[in-house]
Amino acid sequence: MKEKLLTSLESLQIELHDALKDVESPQGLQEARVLFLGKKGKLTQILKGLGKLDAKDRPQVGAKANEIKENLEEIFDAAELRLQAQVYEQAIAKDLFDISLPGRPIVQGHVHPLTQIYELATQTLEKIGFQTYSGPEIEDDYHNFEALNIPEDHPARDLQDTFYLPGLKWLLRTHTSTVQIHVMEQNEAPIRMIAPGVVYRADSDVTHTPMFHQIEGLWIDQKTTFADLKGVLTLFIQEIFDQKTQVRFRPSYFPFTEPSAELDISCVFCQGKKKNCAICKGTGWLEILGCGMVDPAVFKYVKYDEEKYTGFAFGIGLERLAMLKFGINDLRLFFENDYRFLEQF
Amino acid sequence: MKISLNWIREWIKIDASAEEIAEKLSMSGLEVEALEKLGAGLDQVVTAEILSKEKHPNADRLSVCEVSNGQENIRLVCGAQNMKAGDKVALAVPGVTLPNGLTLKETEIRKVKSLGMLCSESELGLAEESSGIMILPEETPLGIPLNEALGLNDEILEINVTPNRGDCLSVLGIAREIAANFSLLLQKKLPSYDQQNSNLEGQKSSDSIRVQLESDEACRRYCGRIIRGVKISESPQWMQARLAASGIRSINNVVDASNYIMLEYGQPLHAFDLAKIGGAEIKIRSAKSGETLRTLEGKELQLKPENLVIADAAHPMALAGVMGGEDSGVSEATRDLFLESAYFEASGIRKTSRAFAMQTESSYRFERSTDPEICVAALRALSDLILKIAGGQADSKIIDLYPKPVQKSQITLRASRVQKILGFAFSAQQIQTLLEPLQIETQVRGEELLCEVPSFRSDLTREIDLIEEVARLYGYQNIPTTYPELDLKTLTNSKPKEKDLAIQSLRQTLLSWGFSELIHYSFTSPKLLQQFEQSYAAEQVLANPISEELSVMRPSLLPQMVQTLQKNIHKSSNQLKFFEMRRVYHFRQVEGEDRPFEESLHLCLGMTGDFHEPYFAEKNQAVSFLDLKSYLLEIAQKFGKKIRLIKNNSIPSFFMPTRYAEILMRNSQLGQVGELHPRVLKDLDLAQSLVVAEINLDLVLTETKNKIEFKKLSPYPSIFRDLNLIVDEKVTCEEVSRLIKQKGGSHLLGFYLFDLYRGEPIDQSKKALTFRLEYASNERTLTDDEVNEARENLLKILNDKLGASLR
Ligand SMILES: [Zn+2]
Repeated sequence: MKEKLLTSLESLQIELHDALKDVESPQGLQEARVLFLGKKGKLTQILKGLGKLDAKDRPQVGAKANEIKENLEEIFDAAELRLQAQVYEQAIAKDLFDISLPGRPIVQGHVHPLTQIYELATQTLEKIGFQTYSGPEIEDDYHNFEALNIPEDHPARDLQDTFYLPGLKWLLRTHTSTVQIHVMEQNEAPIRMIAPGVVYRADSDVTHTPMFHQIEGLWIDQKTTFADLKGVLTLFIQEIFDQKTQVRFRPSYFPFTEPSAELDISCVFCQGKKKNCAICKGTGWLEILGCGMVDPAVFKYVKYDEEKYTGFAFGIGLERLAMLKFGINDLRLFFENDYRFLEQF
Repeated sequence: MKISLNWIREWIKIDASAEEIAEKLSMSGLEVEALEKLGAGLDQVVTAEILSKEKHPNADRLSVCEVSNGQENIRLVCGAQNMKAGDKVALAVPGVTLPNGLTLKETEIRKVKSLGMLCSESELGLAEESSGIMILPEETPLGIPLNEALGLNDEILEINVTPNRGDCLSVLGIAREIAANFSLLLQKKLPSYDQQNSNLEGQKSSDSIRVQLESDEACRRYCGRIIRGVKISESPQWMQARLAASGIRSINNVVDASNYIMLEYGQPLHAFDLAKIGGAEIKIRSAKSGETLRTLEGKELQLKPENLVIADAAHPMALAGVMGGEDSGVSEATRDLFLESAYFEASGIRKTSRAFAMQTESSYRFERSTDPEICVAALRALSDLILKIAGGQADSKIIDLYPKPVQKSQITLRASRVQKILGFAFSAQQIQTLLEPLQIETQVRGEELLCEVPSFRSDLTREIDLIEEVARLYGYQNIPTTYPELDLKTLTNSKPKEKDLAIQSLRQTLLSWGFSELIHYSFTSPKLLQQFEQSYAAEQVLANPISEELSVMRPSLLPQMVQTLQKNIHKSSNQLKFFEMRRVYHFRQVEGEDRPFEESLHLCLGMTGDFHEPYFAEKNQAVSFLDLKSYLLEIAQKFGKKIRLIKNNSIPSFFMPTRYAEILMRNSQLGQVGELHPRVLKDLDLAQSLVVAEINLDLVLTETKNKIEFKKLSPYPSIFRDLNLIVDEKVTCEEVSRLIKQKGGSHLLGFYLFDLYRGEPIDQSKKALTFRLEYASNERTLTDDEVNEARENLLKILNDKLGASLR
């Protein structure tokens, strides 16, 4: 009796293997499950004989029955996985999806290239330790000229064609240097400021627009030197362009700095290697910004101790920077607001 | 300024090439903007003479010429017709490359060998076009390079002279700079004149003219000399060529000579016709009110007392330092001259030249300060030159009125200060060595230098000016590159600029919504502003605009936004979203405030076209007022502000009146939003609607409370109920919403409009609004009963107040 039961249990596994061979659908599998493991299934039928066994044999047969039941369930699970896999394969075989179709368009806006340069330059300078300020665009003569050591009837006024408002008392600032004066009027040294903003000059041709953008910088402390100016601006230029960019400082003239310098960078297009380079005209150098040590006359206007404090100032044209950075060939494009231009940025 | 290098080489002996000189000048502050090689590429072309010209045996239109370059005879074939035997021509032989890039080869044309080419002016780059070959003057020698034959073997430096370096507006000045940079000495000496022992050749002084210096502040020095018996004619070719290279037109030999000496010495000079000086008297004085002067250019000037004039006994003859008068100028009939060489005070000349908007070579130099000590030398040089090219006899005496000689600047320079400014230590001796080539005389006293500045360097008056000269001469490139010491404590002063951060963050938000940024000019056209009913004060119209189109400081961003949308629709895309975030300007006189202008940051949004990009056949909708409203509400919320859109009685006529709202924030005006009126769209030639809004961003960004208050998440589920109402058309969504919010019960968590329906079976004067309501509690799961009860209560109130019924 015991042996017979054990044999029947063993043979159930073989029977199930055979039975599942032809099963190809989830329904078939379900039917087989009922047939073998259901309430009235084959396993239950066999186990009904358990009650007739000797008590001492029961644990052994019971253990065997549990083992077989687990085995059968594993066989069913395996079969189910196999069937499921077939279903996926069939679905995949039928799927004619074309991944090259376009997706639903996502429209992102575009930042104006001047804003991009403005933020790049501002953030770079803030990293170096400058703090950002702003000032009015409609200015008086004092802040735009006089306090910057450009008195009335000074030939340096020729360098800047100024827009005036009626009555000529007010004008549109010709440079962001005006903010230097405002900041020094309101703050004690040390000063480390930048002032990005829009400026105006009455000039309009292929290389001039009547409105353009500048960033002014000013660093004042007790030990600030021309050598420091070279260091800070070199650092800035190499951050904006790249570490290999060469710089050179050339003497120049601005009424509010002395000594004054123009900063040239090695041509970002040809690195000075092309004699016929249209950008640097074969010189290998590009003029990029004006700078210098704050003229003591300016310190006098804002009542700083000119013996104690020294400082440097600089002014960068953002349009020029953007043109070099993005390879834009026409200044006027910045203000035409043509979407075909804007969407490239 | 353009200046001939050959001319400079008359003053200094220098082996360096033009490029080396240009580089050195640029690196010492005189930026050489261009280096023009006259006759570039003409040095290989030589002069030759045509010995014979015969018809080509095999071609009617060609000829065979035998030419000589002075050493050998060459046979060549030529297609031109304009030459004959005996003509002097420009010859290029095989191997020579012409300025137009063509390299010559030996050729055979219709079985006749051609061993050279006779060049035309266009082939030589001397003219845009030319017919036939170039025929040279008869006296041209044979076999010399063509550039030499044409006087074109020169290099022209175009130098950007900064306003502080008036001393460099001359050949002499540039030569001095080159000498200082290359450690050279000037070769040529200035002509000298000893007033006490007048030793000039010429006629004995005839006291035929009396000079009175009345304004000795405006005119510090006045020198003059008389030359009699000159012959006015054309200037010699060499002089014309040099003037032309510097951009000065040739007039006659006397005028050209004064320009020539001015270019060479930097001293402006003027020649009067002696016969025209009434009363044999010259007065340097202020103009009298009512006096007039007719200039050489034929302009009639109304003079004022602040103008300095050179007058005869009765009338002004010249605007001092700016321009001569027509009546007293040199003409073909002139025989006797009075030559003027003066030192006028810079700012007076500038005032006058600005007042009359006349900038001349003369005023340009005086404004930038000339050298008071060169007046006599320049006058001597001029009279010598005139005697040479125009004949005549000069007075032996030079008139020289110099009552209060200009003192040379004495400056103390501290070596320690040089170090403090430049960040690099120089010894007093080093500084002395650096300044010496600039003719600055120095005495070393310990660490101090006592410096005396030469009279031509009027820009050097302070210690800092000399420090710049030290840096310049030492070379900026030789000063080390260091980083400043930074006191970290001072960094803590820098507060983050909240407004800047807010602007950046808003820009990012707008980008993610698909808006692209515009930047317009701050000035715009009055017509455009008028079209969009933007008022502005006369005080914000520029006094000197570039054009009327760019004349008003804009009071609003909206008109340019519409214009740009329109332009882009016509040019590129009909689906656009733009923003501009810039300043607008208003004139506002506020009591007690000095500044009558207000500059405020505005945000303008503009949209047109479909809301989504087209995607297959998916249903799409044109953007509307409501889309822009959503964006505006979202922006307000981003900065913790509440805004309201209200209907307004005064609707600008360019808006569609039903699709317009004024935007309020705490009852103050923030801006406006709307769709454009169809009439305006038609005027703009547009077939699609434009939606625009403009708000004052400064108001939104002040006192932003961006504090986020966290609310605990409810662990209990929400219950949703729909409220399908029928209301009168006159009832607005806002009215219904306000009531729901107020009276929805304590458990109403939120709600939104789910559907809007008009049409059958609903009455024509009514509409159906379906709201979805969400109820929840933080303490427990709500029961259906209490939710239903809350909904019933709400419905009853809606019915009472707004006549709403359930659909
Ligand atoms: Zn280049």
